[in-house]
Formats: sequence, C-alpha cells, structure tokens
Amino acid sequence: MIIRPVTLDDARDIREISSDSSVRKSMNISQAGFTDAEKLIKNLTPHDHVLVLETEVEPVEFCGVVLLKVDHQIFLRRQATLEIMMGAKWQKQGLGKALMMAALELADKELMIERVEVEISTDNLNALKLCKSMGFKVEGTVKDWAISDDGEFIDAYLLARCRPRLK
Amino acid sequence: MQIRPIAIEDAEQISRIRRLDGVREGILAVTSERLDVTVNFIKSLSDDDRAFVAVEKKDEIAGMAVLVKNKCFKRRHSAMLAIMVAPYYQEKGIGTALMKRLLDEADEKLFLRRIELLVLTDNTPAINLYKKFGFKIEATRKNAAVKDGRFVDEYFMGRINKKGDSLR
Repeated sequence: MIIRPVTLDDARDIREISSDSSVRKSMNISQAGFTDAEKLIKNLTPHDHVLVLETEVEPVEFCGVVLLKVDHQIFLRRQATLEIMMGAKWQKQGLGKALMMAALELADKELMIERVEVEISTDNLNALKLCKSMGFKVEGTVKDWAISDDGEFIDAYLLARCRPRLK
Repeated sequence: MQIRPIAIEDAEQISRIRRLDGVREGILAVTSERLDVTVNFIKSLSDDDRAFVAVEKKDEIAGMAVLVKNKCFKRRHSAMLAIMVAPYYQEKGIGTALMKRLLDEADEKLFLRRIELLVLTDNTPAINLYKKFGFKIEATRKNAAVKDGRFVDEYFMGRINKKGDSLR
C-alpha cells in the first residue's frame, strides 16, 4: 500500500469510485466532494491537501482518496474539513483508516491544524464509526441540514477532532 | 433608530466596528483587517442574501445583520445569519430590531427552511437574543474561535421554519 499526493492522472479513478452508488454516501454533504474530480484537482490551492492510497504490487490499483481542506480565511486557518472516499472493494480492510490517519498526521504534525471537521448524515453509520475511531467527537446534531437526492430533508452529525497536545 | 438595507457607503463605519474589542472576536475579524474586506463583502451580496444596518441620527451605524444563503445546492434551503452591534449601542433593543427585520425577510420572502449562526459560548446576551427568536443550540464547537490568545468554544445554533420548504 502506498499513500502519495494526488496527480491529475488520478481524476479518472476518483470519478469512477465517486460514480459508484454504493460509495456515494459522502461525508461533508455540504461540499462538492469528489464528483467533479478533474475540476477539483485543477483548482486545488496551497490550502488544499489531497492524498491517494493505491496498491503497491502490480497491477497498481487505486483504492481511495482523502481531501483535507484548510479554511482560507485568515481567522480560520487553524481549521480544516476532511472528506474521504474508498472504492467499494477496498472498504472494511483498515485502508480507509490508514488513509485518514495520514491526513490527520499531516494536519497534526505539519500543518498544526487545531480543528478538523466532518459532517455526516445521520444514516451513514460506517463513516460515523470510522471517524469516532480516529478521535472525532460528535459536537451536535443538526436538523434538516441538507436535501437528499430524493428531495427529503436529512439530519446530520457535526463532528470535530482537536489537535492532540504533544508532551 | 432606523433600519435600512446596507449600502456600499457604509463600509468604512462597518469596518471600524468590526475591528473593535468585544466585536472582533465573535465575527472572525482581526485588528489588521482592511477596508476592502468589508467592501468586497457588501459587493458580494446576491439577490438571495439580505443585509441591513441599524442607523442612529446623523447616519451613524449602530449595528448590522446579514443573512447569506448557503451556496451548496444540497443546502439551498438554508442560510447563515450574522449580526453585530457596536458595544456602546448594545442592550438598547437594536439587536432585536435587526433580528426581527432579517427573520421576517427569511420567512416571508426567501421561504428558508433553516437558518444557522455561530456564537461564542460566553456571549450570554447574544445567545439569549437568538433563543428569543427560536434558535436552539445544536452543537458546541470546541476551540473553534480565538479570544485574547486562547482558544474558545462556539455554539452552532439553528432555527427551523416548518413552512419554509417551498424551494424543494
């Protein structure tokens, strides 16, 4: 398994995973996510960090992607949002956890980010479980947070993880 | 006191209030914030957004309130509210008047389902004002803001208008 920064060549793989309806339940509903991967990669700023995870042995297969987006407002540069997406066949093997760990270590040890935030629709229990295992805490539940593809109002959990204090 | 829509000429007065001790910390401003931040904000307001100022005699601005509709398509039924009152004009009903005007617009013209806001957890007068208008504390955001060299917590508050779903 290799974790490396994204390149424009990854757009096709990201788009493929993102169009799989079984993976579509994304975190951070209020952001565009990975649906337009090419545009996302082309428009990345120095405040955006994207890591991808792929297999090490040939043939190299693309497994998942994580986006850490640091708020660009001067006052909020200590905060970031995180979004992660794993291909269906690469889920439940600890790979998502490894990829998220890489993004959180970047936030903690290099970028010195104080708060990493995610929002998760209340029915996305897998994402909730993953985030909780990585030290995220539910800070509250928001009602009628977003409109689902079926036109229903859906509730969401707001989670955040503050930077661990080093001894 | 009179409430009117914001104008670009208000930028200088608003920018000055934004930088004051006791205002700055709660609205994500810093003491180095230049005038163009406020000018650009006023220019960026769209037809879906609303911004009002409370004006005292001689056109002196006492406070302002803005409602910015969420740009994300999945959250098009909701908007972020922000309000500030100059410290020397606080506790005179200006916040209440601004909130009433803004929420009337939200309910009767914009048909918003959800309005949300952020407030420092120690800002009791503001929290009470928001509660009076039907906002509930939905989340406590740890270390989300900074005051006097320390991280402080913020409440995320929301208000639902059950009738406000005409955008669906």
